[in-house]
Amino acid sequence: MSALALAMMVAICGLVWGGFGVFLTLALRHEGRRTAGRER
Amino acid sequence: MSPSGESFSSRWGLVLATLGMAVGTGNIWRFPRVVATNGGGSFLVAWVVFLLLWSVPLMIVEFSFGKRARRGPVGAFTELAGRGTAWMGAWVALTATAIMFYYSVVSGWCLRYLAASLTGELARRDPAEVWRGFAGTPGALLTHLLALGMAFAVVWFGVRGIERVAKVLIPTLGVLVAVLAVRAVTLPGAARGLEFLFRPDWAALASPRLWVEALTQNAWDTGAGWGLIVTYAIYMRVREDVPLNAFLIGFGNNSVSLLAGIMVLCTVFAINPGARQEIVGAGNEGLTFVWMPQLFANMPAGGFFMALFFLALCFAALTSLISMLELATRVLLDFGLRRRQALLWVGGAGFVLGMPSALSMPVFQNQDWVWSLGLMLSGLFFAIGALRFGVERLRREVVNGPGVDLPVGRWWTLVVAVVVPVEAVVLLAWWLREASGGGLAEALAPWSTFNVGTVLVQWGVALAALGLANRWLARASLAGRPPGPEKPPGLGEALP
Repeated sequence: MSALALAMMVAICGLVWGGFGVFLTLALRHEGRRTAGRER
Repeated sequence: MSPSGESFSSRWGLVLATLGMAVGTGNIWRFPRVVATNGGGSFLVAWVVFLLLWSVPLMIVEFSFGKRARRGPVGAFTELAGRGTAWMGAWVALTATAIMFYYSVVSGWCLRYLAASLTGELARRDPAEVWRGFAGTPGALLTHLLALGMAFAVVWFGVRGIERVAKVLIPTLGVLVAVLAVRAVTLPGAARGLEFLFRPDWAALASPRLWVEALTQNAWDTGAGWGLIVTYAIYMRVREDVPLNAFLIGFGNNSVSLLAGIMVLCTVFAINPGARQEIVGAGNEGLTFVWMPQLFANMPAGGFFMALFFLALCFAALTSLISMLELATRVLLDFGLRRRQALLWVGGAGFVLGMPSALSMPVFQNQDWVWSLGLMLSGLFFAIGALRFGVERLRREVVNGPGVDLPVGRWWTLVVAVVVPVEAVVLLAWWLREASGGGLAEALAPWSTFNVGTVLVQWGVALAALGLANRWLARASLAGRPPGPEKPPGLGEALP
């Protein structure tokens, strides 16, 4: 596999999967706060 | 909670159901083929650009229409964009419903191939022969009925039924696609598939075709602009976020596409690299129902992975079909029908109007051609609807309204007001120019399977009928009681 293809794979997968991971983490954190708020 | 109890029980219920809507056969069979025929890595650049400049902004518009109006596409356009635009909402609903008619046929094919992989039929017989003996026959009619019946049974129980099914099928689908992708990249020779998928051809970025394909793939793949998100957003809780959910679903959907691309192309290059042009050029059905079984048959433990592949395809197809059935049912609920009465009408019409696509491949291909292009117009109509309501007002009052976790800036207003309409108009103009290239008489012949004429005739009839019925549509679409959570004070009580 060429270095260029490898770099593209890291960039595209990083952006798409990384983006999904970041948004999922944010959603989990906000829901956690809401649940904690309701329990209080 | 609404008096009728019609709302998603949690954020995850909404997100998983909407992901189920977005992740469909387009992710698994269309994406790998389109990326392989359009420059690999260069196509992926354009694909990511349009995720941010088409799919996610339109998903935000759809979420906010459903959350604010608490009605399906026809009622939402009438209430938010004005009574004169009921026909636009009806176009959105009609396009998604027309797709439902043949999508049920596709879901039936997936069920048939899951059964054939589980019984070992695909390992014993030539997959091409199985396909020829099945597509367009009464057998396909039976599986169309079976798929529609399964989706019908889920929608019968309303939003809670949809949520329960999505909570099981979508995580399972994610695991199945991930397992298949890991299996594919660990096959000897799979690196050539990754090279083919990710190696950029920078010159291809100058081709308008690549950008058009990237935009249509995004529209088809994410479900943005179909009206399906409006339908699910009706059942959002009042203090539910819009933008973060749209980003989560958009990126989640494209994550599955990327996994599917890796899975399919690594399998092709590892098992039969010599036939790759033939495989990716075989069309969606050829790739999935003829070539993939042949590739799996030549792989260690191929029967097991083939069954997993068709199981994933079934889950993806059924969760999308459920959302299409719910959209059409929701429109009739807004017209004042009861859920089960509305669903019986939609299910009956779905079976009867899907029959021609089940029994004839040219009809199926024609319907796919006409109505998947109609999605471009649907996306444009959503942008026009938002403009009529006021894009900035929508951002302030709904998108960044109660429950927001990730407020969007003015960039979103600019994208919805300017970029999305320009994209849609340029795309439609380019398509008209390309499709007319073979000569005007040939392009305009109305009875061809793939040309401009068949699209213009079918769109023209639909648009004329909806335009004539606009006044009735506007009145009827507000007849039913809005479902979902009660609207908070000050929301949705005034027409613009």
